[in-house]
Amino acid sequence: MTDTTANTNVMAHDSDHGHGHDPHLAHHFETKHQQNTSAKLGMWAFLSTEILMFGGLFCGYAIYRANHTDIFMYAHKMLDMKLGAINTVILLTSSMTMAWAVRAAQLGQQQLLKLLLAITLLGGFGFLGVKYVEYTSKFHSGLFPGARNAYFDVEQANKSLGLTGEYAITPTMKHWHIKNIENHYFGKYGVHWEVPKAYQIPELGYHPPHHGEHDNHAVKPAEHHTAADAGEVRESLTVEAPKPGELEHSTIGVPGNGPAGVNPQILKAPAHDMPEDHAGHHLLTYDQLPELEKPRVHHFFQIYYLMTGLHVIHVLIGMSLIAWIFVRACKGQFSKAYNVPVDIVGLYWHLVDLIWIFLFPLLYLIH
Amino acid sequence: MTSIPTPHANDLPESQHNSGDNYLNHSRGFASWAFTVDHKRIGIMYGISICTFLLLGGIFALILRTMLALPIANIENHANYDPAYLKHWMDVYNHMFTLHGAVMVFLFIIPGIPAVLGNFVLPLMLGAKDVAFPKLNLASFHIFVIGSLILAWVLLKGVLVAMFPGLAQYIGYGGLETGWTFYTPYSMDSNSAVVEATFGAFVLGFSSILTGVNFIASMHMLRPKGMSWFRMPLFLWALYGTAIIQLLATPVLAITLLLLIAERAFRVGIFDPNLGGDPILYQHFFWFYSHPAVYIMVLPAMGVISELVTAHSRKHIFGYSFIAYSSIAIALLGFFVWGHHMFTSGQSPMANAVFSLLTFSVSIPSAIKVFNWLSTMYRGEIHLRTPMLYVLSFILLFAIGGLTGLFLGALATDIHLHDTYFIVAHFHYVMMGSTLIAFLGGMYHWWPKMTGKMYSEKVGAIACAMVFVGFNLTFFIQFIAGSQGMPRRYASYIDDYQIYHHISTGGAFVLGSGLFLVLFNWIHSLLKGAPAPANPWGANTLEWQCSSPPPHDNFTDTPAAGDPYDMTEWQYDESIKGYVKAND
Ligand SMILES: [Cu+2]
Repeated sequence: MTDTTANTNVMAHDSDHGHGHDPHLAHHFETKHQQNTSAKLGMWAFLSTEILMFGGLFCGYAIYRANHTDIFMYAHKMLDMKLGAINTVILLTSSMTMAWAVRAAQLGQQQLLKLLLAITLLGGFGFLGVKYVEYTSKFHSGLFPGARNAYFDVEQANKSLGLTGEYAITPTMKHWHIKNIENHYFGKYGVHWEVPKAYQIPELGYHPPHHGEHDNHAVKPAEHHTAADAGEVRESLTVEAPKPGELEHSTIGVPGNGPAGVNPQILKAPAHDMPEDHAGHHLLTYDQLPELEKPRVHHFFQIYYLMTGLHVIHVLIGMSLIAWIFVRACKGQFSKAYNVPVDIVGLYWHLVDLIWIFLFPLLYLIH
Repeated sequence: MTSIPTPHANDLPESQHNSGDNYLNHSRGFASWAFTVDHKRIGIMYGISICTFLLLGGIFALILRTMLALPIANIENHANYDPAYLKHWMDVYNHMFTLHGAVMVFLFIIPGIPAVLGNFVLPLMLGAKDVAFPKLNLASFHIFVIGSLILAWVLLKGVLVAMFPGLAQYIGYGGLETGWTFYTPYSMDSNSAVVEATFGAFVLGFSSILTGVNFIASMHMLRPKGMSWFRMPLFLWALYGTAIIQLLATPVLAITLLLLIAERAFRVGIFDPNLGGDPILYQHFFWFYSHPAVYIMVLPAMGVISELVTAHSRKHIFGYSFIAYSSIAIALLGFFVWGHHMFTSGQSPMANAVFSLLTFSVSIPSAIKVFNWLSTMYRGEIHLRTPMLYVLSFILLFAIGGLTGLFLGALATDIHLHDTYFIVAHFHYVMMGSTLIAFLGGMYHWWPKMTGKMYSEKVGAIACAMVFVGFNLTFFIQFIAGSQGMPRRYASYIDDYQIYHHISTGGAFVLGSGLFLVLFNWIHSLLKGAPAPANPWGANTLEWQCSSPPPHDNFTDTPAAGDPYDMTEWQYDESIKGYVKAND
């Protein structure tokens, strides 16, 4: 690294660019190799900070998962594994085209470089598109980030959102909202709650069954719901607060003894009460969660949005960087001799990919 | 060439004092400074901003010390005051101590030495023309300015809303009264400008990270021929250790602050116990950054002291590799001790014991440094110039700060001492008694190089004595107050503590006057100082081998690097009041 001082004396007297020097060699470097290695070293150092930044979130995830395993077992099934898998494929492919683009830049293959950068950028758009579909479908079910989440504590939600009087959320509404959500997401596992007609409201996450399945579940179109209607509905129904599940004993803060920290009482519950998922795992429903864990279900979604949200921000930054070098590639600024920006943007894009490779199994896959 | 009057410039040869084209007069105008990529100018701009924030934080300190000395702070007198007024008064106090802490920590101590002295000196010490990424360096300065403007907005909003309460419904409440640590759950309920302030700290973190990236790459890639890792000046080793912490700890602060903002803005409930969250998790996250941040503050200070002690003792540094390795050891050990901030937060006894043990282990590399500095002075040719006076102050104050840390790291005594003035005194000895003192010492030491002017040794010595005496008056008494049970962050106290607070406040004003005298000395030197020779102290690190102030490109020829502490070749030359190489 300290190999060369040969040029120094010559360079010192005309520090400005030009004068027969390589225009891409900054005046404080002596060789191109030194300059490129510096750039890469700097990028690697910066990437370590990115890892540590996500590290905080992964750490938060690990702690919440360890302390509240039931919640994670319950809620992660609402994420769409197929969309997650599609996005994984998209990102992996774009990472490959990025790596190829770096190679093309090093070999001076201008056309190929532009093509590969364009494909990589397209991959970024594809990822964002899938993410958009995913987020909106969650929003439609009421699985928002923050206080609007369907699982949020009713009193705190009303306070945070400033909802009072007839606009306030009631425990009954929350109860049927969650049943709607479970019907929607767990229907494929055989879960079906009879939701009173009055609560088959799209705003409460109600999704009509597919055509021809349950024609008795006709839904009122959303525009027919006025605040007065909702108030009426609320008064006319006398459904009490959700029936407490059989499992009331608090396990707060107590790591379970069962596999993966699952509340042992759940494992003891009769198996025929509980539906199973495709892999034969028992499926939890909200009512089966320990009473003191119920107010924390929203944490899974908060963590999901925080982690994927920060990742999406990084995808956007990565895409801007790729767009920047794409423009520079179109201007023909890269050559065999000068291509280090392609290289360091590539490193960044691989990091974005790498983080997703961890997010996907942690949030979507592991039981 | 005409921009800076240099009346005595002709007294010194051009190779010594650069009155011709130097970095200060190379180009002119606002843009030539604000958008410069010259590390020296960036260092100077950091210096001016950081000293401004020191002044600001100092004003908050004096206000809060004054409030604590007034009769209203004594509980005995509370009956004489309207309860509403009392509450308002205490509210103001909460704002003052929080703003003092936040400004000093985020805007002065953390960026202080690396951004000012590091930026100016690091490339010079490497014999390089600039840092590895000059544009990134400028970017991190701009990010620093943006972050500090956000924090300034917090202050301004506080003042505006205090003057026109009606404004609050449009712009929200300003100021900050959560304590600089932003602990949840209070930071969720506080109606001060928590979101803006945390966002400002988040932005400042980026500046810190980018500076760290730059320094690491510079030290890896720009060392000149002959400068192996173990011939690198010790200040650079310290900056390397600091940069590791900046890289690995700051992003954790970033995510913590983002989570806090998400918590305030969307109520995600990760930290808020009302929403099922875990406030202790916040403390873990926060201190995972903020304990290592203590070493972001103190490691560069130790590096400065290592340079100063050898230069002004005219003796080769003692135990070079021990000092170098201890910097890295402190940087790494510093990551595993954060739990000592939570001994009383309900952490498991096992975790407490482990964190306590690890905390004690940090004292080993710290003590190694102190003993090596003392050994360096032993039988040296000690010149009691102003920088050396600061070195001596540093060693004493750091020793007190470090040793009182042991009381807090021990589990049993910490139960008694935590959240008292004892801890306040302890961390002021470490942060201010060490970092600020080293910053001032370093500024004096490199002042001739930065400005090309000499300062007044007499005024320097008087100011140093005032700072030293004032500092000890202010804070030593707080050890006693704390061990007697005076809790920190309280706006009032029972009668027994009044005497401690009065003494402490008196000391604060002596300290403040001393710092103003330092400022006076610097301004006086800029206006009337004698021209500085290239090497006024006879140090052998490379920055003394270019003229004072350095030319735009630092070195005409890359100097040959040898042992940075072999000063035997430098002989004092009376005619230039500086040192020259004997064989030149
Ligand atoms: Cu600590």
